[in-house]
Amino acid sequence: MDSLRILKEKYILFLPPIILIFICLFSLFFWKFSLKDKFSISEIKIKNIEKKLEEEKNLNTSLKRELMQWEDVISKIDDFKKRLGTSNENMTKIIKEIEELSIRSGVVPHSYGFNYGEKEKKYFRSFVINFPFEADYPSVRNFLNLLELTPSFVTLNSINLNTTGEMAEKVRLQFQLTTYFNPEEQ
Amino acid sequence: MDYHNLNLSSKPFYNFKILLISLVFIYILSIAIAVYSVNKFYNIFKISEESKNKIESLNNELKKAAKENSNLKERLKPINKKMVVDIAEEINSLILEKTFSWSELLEDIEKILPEEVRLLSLSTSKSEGGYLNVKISGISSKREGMLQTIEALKTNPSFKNIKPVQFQDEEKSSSIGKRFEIQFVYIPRKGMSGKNG
Repeated sequence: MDSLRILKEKYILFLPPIILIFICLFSLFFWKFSLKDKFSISEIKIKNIEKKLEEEKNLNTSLKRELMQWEDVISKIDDFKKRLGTSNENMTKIIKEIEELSIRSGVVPHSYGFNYGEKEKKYFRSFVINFPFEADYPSVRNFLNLLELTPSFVTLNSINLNTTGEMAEKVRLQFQLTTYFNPEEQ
Repeated sequence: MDYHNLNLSSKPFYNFKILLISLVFIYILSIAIAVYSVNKFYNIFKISEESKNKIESLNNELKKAAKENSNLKERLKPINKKMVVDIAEEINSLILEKTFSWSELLEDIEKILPEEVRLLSLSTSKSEGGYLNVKISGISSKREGMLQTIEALKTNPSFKNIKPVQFQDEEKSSSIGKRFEIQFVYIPRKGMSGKNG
């Protein structure tokens, strides 16, 4: 009883620690039930931004790949166009080359027929060369072989054959060759 | 009558053991709770500061990525994709014509052509499945010349999709014979191994 009396008399000494405990517990409860939500909102915000960033990075990778592919195709197209050149630049060169190939293979045409735009393409101008000639079969094969190997863009479209006779060594042929040029700039 | 409670002892709490123990306990407890709370809030604000910085840096990174993407889109915009695809397809068809091996075709036809059949013309036409169509016209002394040629072409796997196009009996004309036209797809041996490989 004596002790209780003393505790009752000296209660003032307990006030500071009790107030401190009360303030701490109040702060912790306040954190638990009010502030924690605000902090978890920032976590959600971080996750959302990270998700958006991931999407942007994926888009970036696919855009880069797409751009690289298109640029690659465009550069290949440009290389091909350079190879073809324009008719002004390359027409005489091609005719000269065909003439040289025919001489080397022993197939010499007596006449040439030229046709512009017969095998027209949308983006390239065609130049068709028809030439009839008479030659033995090995020379024809040799000419075909040289034509396939030439770096110039000349394609063979058709071969018409006419033997000069049943037992003739030579065949009469007509080749149709086509080459393509870039359209002249206006 | 006023009662004055005077403690004149030199150690006033010496005999108050319960008071002392309670006071020490409650002070220690309050200090422990206070330290725990301060530590907790310090950590919370530290984390909050880190989150703030992280959000800021992520936002910066996001802006940078978005800007880069818009730049890439700007670079892609002027490309006329339809035209590029059209040109590429046209170039592919030209390359197909250029790489067509007439030497191999003639070699293969020579091997299988029936004796009574003579070739009049060979020509290529539009592509079919990445290969060129070939049309041959010939003349035969026999009526069954065209069918014999088709059967002979079938024996070589390089000739695919063989179709007769025309047959004409020209007995009345000066060049006696049966004219015919056959169309097929020619896949050279190299092309076959390329496709398989």
